Amino acid sequence: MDKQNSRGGRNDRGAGAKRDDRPPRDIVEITDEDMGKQLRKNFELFVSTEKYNKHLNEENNEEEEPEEEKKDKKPRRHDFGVYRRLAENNGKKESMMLHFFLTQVFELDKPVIEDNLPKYLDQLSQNKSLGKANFSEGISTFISMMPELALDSPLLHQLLWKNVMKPLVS
Amino acid sequence: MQLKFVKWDSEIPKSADPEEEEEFAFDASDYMYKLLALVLSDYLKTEPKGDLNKFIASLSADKVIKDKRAKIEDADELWANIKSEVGAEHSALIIPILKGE
Repeated sequence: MDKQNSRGGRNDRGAGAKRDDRPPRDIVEITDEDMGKQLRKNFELFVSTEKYNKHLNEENNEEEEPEEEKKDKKPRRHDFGVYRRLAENNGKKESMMLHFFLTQVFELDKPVIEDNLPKYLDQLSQNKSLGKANFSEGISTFISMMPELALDSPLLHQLLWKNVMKPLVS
Repeated sequence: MQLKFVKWDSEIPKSADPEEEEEFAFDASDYMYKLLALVLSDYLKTEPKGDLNKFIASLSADKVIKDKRAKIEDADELWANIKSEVGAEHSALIIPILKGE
Protein backbone atom coordinates (compact mmCIF):
# COMPACT_ATOMS: atom_id res chain seq x y z
CA MET A 1 0.00 0.00 0.00
CA ASP A 2 1.37 3.38 -0.85
CA LYS A 3 1.46 6.44 1.36
CA GLN A 4 -1.72 7.91 -0.10
CA ASN A 5 -3.80 5.01 0.99
CA SER A 6 -2.01 4.61 4.26
CA ARG A 7 -3.61 7.92 5.23
CA GLY A 8 -6.67 5.92 6.11
CA GLY A 9 -10.18 5.41 4.94
CA ARG A 10 -13.26 3.51 5.81
CA ASN A 11 -11.34 0.31 5.41
CA ASP A 12 -9.13 1.33 8.35
CA ARG A 13 -11.00 -0.45 11.05
CA GLY A 14 -9.83 -1.08 14.58
CA ALA A 15 -8.93 -4.50 15.88
CA GLY A 16 -12.27 -4.65 17.65
CA ALA A 17 -14.25 -4.15 14.45
CA LYS A 18 -16.92 -6.72 13.75
CA ARG A 19 -15.87 -9.29 11.20
CA ASP A 20 -18.13 -10.92 8.68
CA ASP A 21 -17.71 -13.61 6.07
CA ARG A 22 -17.50 -11.24 3.13
CA PRO A 23 -14.13 -11.18 1.39
CA PRO A 24 -12.22 -7.94 1.94
CA ARG A 25 -12.89 -5.37 -0.76
CA ASP A 26 -9.98 -4.83 -3.10
CA ILE A 27 -8.79 -1.25 -2.88
CA VAL A 28 -8.02 0.28 -6.25
CA GLU A 29 -5.22 2.73 -5.72
CA ILE A 30 -5.48 6.11 -7.40
CA THR A 31 -3.38 9.20 -6.88
CA ASP A 32 -4.60 12.13 -4.83
CA GLU A 33 -4.46 14.25 -7.98
CA ASP A 34 -6.81 11.85 -9.78
CA MET A 35 -9.10 11.92 -6.78
CA GLY A 36 -9.14 15.72 -6.93
CA LYS A 37 -9.95 15.61 -10.63
CA GLN A 38 -12.87 13.23 -10.07
CA LEU A 39 -14.23 15.53 -7.38
CA ARG A 40 -13.78 18.59 -9.56
CA LYS A 41 -15.73 16.81 -12.31
CA ASN A 42 -18.47 16.12 -9.78
CA PHE A 43 -18.57 19.84 -8.97
CA GLU A 44 -18.71 20.74 -12.66
CA LEU A 45 -21.65 18.33 -13.08
CA PHE A 46 -23.31 20.06 -10.15
CA VAL A 47 -22.84 23.41 -11.88
CA SER A 48 -24.49 22.12 -15.07
CA THR A 49 -27.33 20.53 -13.05
CA GLU A 50 -27.93 23.84 -11.32
CA LYS A 51 -28.02 25.61 -14.69
CA TYR A 52 -30.48 23.06 -16.06
CA ASN A 53 -32.76 23.35 -13.02
CA LYS A 54 -32.66 27.13 -13.18
CA HIS A 55 -33.55 27.05 -16.85
CA LEU A 56 -36.35 24.58 -16.16
CA ASN A 57 -37.69 26.76 -13.42
CA GLU A 58 -37.73 29.75 -15.75
CA GLU A 59 -39.49 27.68 -18.43
CA ASN A 60 -42.10 26.52 -15.95
CA ASN A 61 -42.83 30.08 -15.05
CA GLU A 62 -43.61 30.85 -18.65
CA GLU A 63 -47.20 30.28 -19.65
CA GLU A 64 -46.63 29.27 -23.27
CA GLU A 65 -45.64 25.62 -22.84
CA PRO A 66 -48.47 23.08 -22.50
CA GLU A 67 -48.86 21.60 -19.02
CA GLU A 68 -48.20 18.04 -20.29
CA GLU A 69 -44.77 19.02 -21.64
CA LYS A 70 -43.89 20.77 -18.41
CA LYS A 71 -44.64 17.58 -16.46
CA ASP A 72 -42.18 15.61 -18.58
CA LYS A 73 -39.30 17.77 -17.47
CA LYS A 74 -38.34 17.24 -13.87
CA PRO A 75 -35.60 18.97 -11.92
CA ARG A 76 -32.44 16.92 -11.64
CA ARG A 77 -30.86 15.90 -8.35
CA HIS A 78 -27.11 15.94 -8.13
CA ASP A 79 -25.34 12.68 -7.29
CA PHE A 80 -22.64 12.93 -4.62
CA GLY A 81 -21.92 9.18 -4.78
CA VAL A 82 -18.34 9.77 -5.90
CA TYR A 83 -17.39 10.53 -2.27
CA ARG A 84 -18.66 7.14 -1.10
CA ARG A 85 -16.99 5.37 -4.02
CA LEU A 86 -13.64 7.04 -3.36
CA ALA A 87 -13.82 5.94 0.26
CA GLU A 88 -15.02 2.41 -0.36
CA ASN A 89 -13.29 1.53 -3.62
CA ASN A 90 -10.14 3.62 -3.37
CA GLY A 91 -9.62 3.79 0.40
CA LYS A 92 -9.49 7.56 0.42
CA LYS A 93 -9.89 9.50 3.63
CA GLU A 94 -12.86 11.90 3.57
CA SER A 95 -11.02 14.91 4.97
CA MET A 96 -8.35 14.48 2.28
CA MET A 97 -11.13 14.39 -0.33
CA LEU A 98 -12.23 17.85 0.76
CA HIS A 99 -8.67 19.16 0.70
CA PHE A 100 -7.93 17.89 -2.81
CA PHE A 101 -11.40 18.89 -4.00
CA LEU A 102 -10.77 22.49 -2.92
CA THR A 103 -7.30 22.45 -4.46
CA GLN A 104 -8.83 21.57 -7.83
CA VAL A 105 -11.97 23.70 -7.64
CA PHE A 106 -10.08 26.87 -6.73
CA GLU A 107 -8.49 26.66 -10.18
CA LEU A 108 -11.86 27.40 -11.75
CA ASP A 109 -13.10 30.89 -12.59
CA LYS A 110 -14.02 33.00 -9.58
CA PRO A 111 -17.68 33.59 -10.63
CA VAL A 112 -18.21 29.82 -11.04
CA ILE A 113 -16.81 29.29 -7.55
CA GLU A 114 -18.78 32.08 -5.96
CA ASP A 115 -22.07 31.14 -7.61
CA ASN A 116 -21.91 27.43 -6.91
CA LEU A 117 -19.40 26.31 -4.29
CA PRO A 118 -21.34 27.40 -1.15
CA LYS A 119 -24.47 25.64 -2.44
CA TYR A 120 -22.51 22.52 -3.39
CA LEU A 121 -20.92 22.29 0.05
CA ASP A 122 -24.25 22.92 1.73
CA GLN A 123 -25.84 20.00 -0.15
CA LEU A 124 -22.77 17.85 0.46
CA SER A 125 -23.12 18.53 4.16
CA GLN A 126 -26.93 18.06 4.18
CA ASN A 127 -26.86 14.66 2.50
CA LYS A 128 -24.02 13.54 4.78
CA SER A 129 -21.72 12.53 1.95
CA LEU A 130 -18.98 13.95 4.16
CA GLY A 131 -19.19 13.83 7.94
CA LYS A 132 -19.10 17.09 9.92
CA ALA A 133 -15.66 16.39 11.36
CA ASN A 134 -14.26 15.88 7.86
CA PHE A 135 -15.14 19.43 6.89
CA SER A 136 -13.09 20.98 9.68
CA GLU A 137 -10.28 18.45 9.22
CA GLY A 138 -10.18 19.00 5.45
CA ILE A 139 -10.13 22.77 5.87
CA SER A 140 -7.36 22.47 8.49
CA THR A 141 -5.26 20.49 6.01
CA PHE A 142 -6.01 23.03 3.30
CA ILE A 143 -4.87 25.88 5.58
CA SER A 144 -1.57 24.10 6.16
CA MET A 145 -1.04 23.97 2.38
CA MET A 146 -2.05 27.58 1.70
CA PRO A 147 1.47 29.01 1.46
CA GLU A 148 2.22 26.71 -1.47
CA LEU A 149 -1.22 26.86 -3.09
CA ALA A 150 -1.34 30.65 -2.89
CA LEU A 151 1.63 30.94 -5.22
CA ASP A 152 -0.84 30.43 -8.08
CA SER A 153 -3.79 32.13 -6.39
CA PRO A 154 -2.90 35.09 -4.18
CA LEU A 155 -6.52 35.60 -3.10
CA LEU A 156 -6.91 32.02 -1.96
CA HIS A 157 -7.61 33.00 1.65
CA GLN A 158 -10.53 35.15 0.50
CA LEU A 159 -11.96 32.36 -1.64
CA LEU A 160 -11.62 29.93 1.25
CA TRP A 161 -13.27 32.21 3.78
CA LYS A 162 -16.11 33.58 1.62
CA ASN A 163 -17.05 30.43 -0.25
CA VAL A 164 -16.20 27.61 2.13
CA MET A 165 -15.69 28.52 5.77
CA LYS A 166 -18.20 31.32 6.22
CA PRO A 167 -21.11 29.48 4.51
CA LEU A 168 -20.36 26.28 6.43
CA VAL A 169 -20.19 28.13 9.72
CA SER A 170 -23.40 30.01 8.96
CA MET B 1 -19.16 23.15 10.99
CA GLN B 2 -17.80 25.03 13.97
CA LEU B 3 -14.76 27.23 13.68
CA LYS B 4 -13.38 25.94 16.95
CA PHE B 5 -12.74 22.58 15.29
CA VAL B 6 -10.54 24.08 12.59
CA LYS B 7 -6.87 23.60 13.36
CA TRP B 8 -4.58 26.47 12.48
CA ASP B 9 -1.40 24.51 12.86
CA SER B 10 -2.12 21.22 11.11
CA GLU B 11 0.88 19.40 9.75
CA ILE B 12 1.48 19.65 6.03
CA PRO B 13 0.30 16.33 4.55
CA LYS B 14 3.11 14.08 3.44
CA SER B 15 3.61 13.74 -0.28
CA ALA B 16 3.23 10.39 -2.00
CA ASP B 17 6.47 11.12 -3.78
CA PRO B 18 9.44 10.84 -1.37
CA GLU B 19 11.56 13.10 -3.59
CA GLU B 20 9.03 15.88 -3.20
CA GLU B 21 9.53 15.77 0.56
CA GLU B 22 13.07 16.97 0.13
CA GLU B 23 12.05 20.03 -1.85
CA PHE B 24 11.70 23.43 -0.24
CA ALA B 25 8.80 23.46 2.17
CA PHE B 26 6.40 26.35 1.70
CA ASP B 27 5.62 27.18 5.28
CA ALA B 28 5.36 30.99 5.31
CA SER B 29 2.56 32.04 7.61
CA ASP B 30 1.32 35.18 5.81
CA TYR B 31 -1.78 33.48 4.41
CA MET B 32 -2.76 32.04 7.74
CA TYR B 33 -2.68 35.57 9.23
CA LYS B 34 -4.68 36.95 6.30
CA LEU B 35 -7.31 34.25 6.75
CA LEU B 36 -7.42 34.79 10.50
CA ALA B 37 -7.87 38.52 9.94
CA LEU B 38 -10.95 37.80 7.78
CA VAL B 39 -12.34 35.50 10.49
CA LEU B 40 -11.73 38.12 13.19
CA SER B 41 -13.20 40.89 11.08
CA ASP B 42 -16.33 38.80 10.50
CA TYR B 43 -16.58 38.30 14.27
CA LEU B 44 -16.39 42.08 14.78
CA LYS B 45 -19.18 42.59 12.26
CA THR B 46 -21.53 40.48 14.37
CA GLU B 47 -20.05 41.42 17.76
CA PRO B 48 -18.74 44.99 17.39
CA LYS B 49 -17.92 45.18 21.11
CA GLY B 50 -16.81 41.58 21.42
CA ASP B 51 -13.59 40.50 23.09
CA LEU B 52 -11.24 39.50 20.28
CA ASN B 53 -8.78 37.81 22.62
CA LYS B 54 -11.50 35.60 24.04
CA PHE B 55 -12.71 34.76 20.56
CA ILE B 56 -9.18 33.86 19.47
CA ALA B 57 -8.83 31.64 22.54
CA SER B 58 -12.11 29.93 21.63
CA LEU B 59 -10.58 29.09 18.25
CA SER B 60 -7.43 27.77 19.96
CA ALA B 61 -5.53 30.11 17.68
CA ASP B 62 -3.69 32.15 20.33
CA LYS B 63 -0.63 29.89 20.42
CA VAL B 64 -0.32 29.62 16.66
CA ILE B 65 -0.58 33.41 16.26
CA LYS B 66 2.42 33.73 18.57
CA ASP B 67 4.40 30.83 17.15
CA LYS B 68 4.01 31.64 13.46
CA ARG B 69 5.23 35.25 13.62
CA ALA B 70 8.75 34.09 12.88
CA LYS B 71 7.56 32.68 9.57
CA ILE B 72 6.05 35.87 8.20
CA GLU B 73 7.76 36.64 4.90
CA ASP B 74 7.18 40.38 4.65
CA ALA B 75 5.56 41.86 7.75
CA ASP B 76 5.01 45.39 6.37
CA GLU B 77 3.32 44.07 3.25
CA LEU B 78 1.23 41.63 5.30
CA TRP B 79 -0.16 44.28 7.66
CA ALA B 80 -0.83 46.63 4.73
CA ASN B 81 -2.70 43.86 2.89
CA ILE B 82 -4.76 43.02 5.95
CA LYS B 83 -5.63 46.69 6.43
CA SER B 84 -6.86 46.97 2.86
CA GLU B 85 -8.89 43.77 3.19
CA VAL B 86 -10.64 44.32 6.51
CA GLY B 87 -10.67 48.12 6.58
CA ALA B 88 -9.08 50.67 8.89
CA GLU B 89 -11.54 50.25 11.75
CA HIS B 90 -11.17 46.50 12.15
CA SER B 91 -7.49 46.43 11.31
CA ALA B 92 -6.83 48.87 14.16
CA LEU B 93 -8.13 46.19 16.52
CA ILE B 94 -6.92 43.07 14.74
CA ILE B 95 -3.37 43.88 13.64
CA PRO B 96 -1.99 44.72 17.12
CA ILE B 97 -3.23 41.34 18.36
CA LEU B 98 -1.68 39.51 15.43
CA LYS B 99 1.55 41.43 15.95
CA GLY B 100 1.52 40.65 19.69
CA GLU B 101 1.59 44.30 20.75
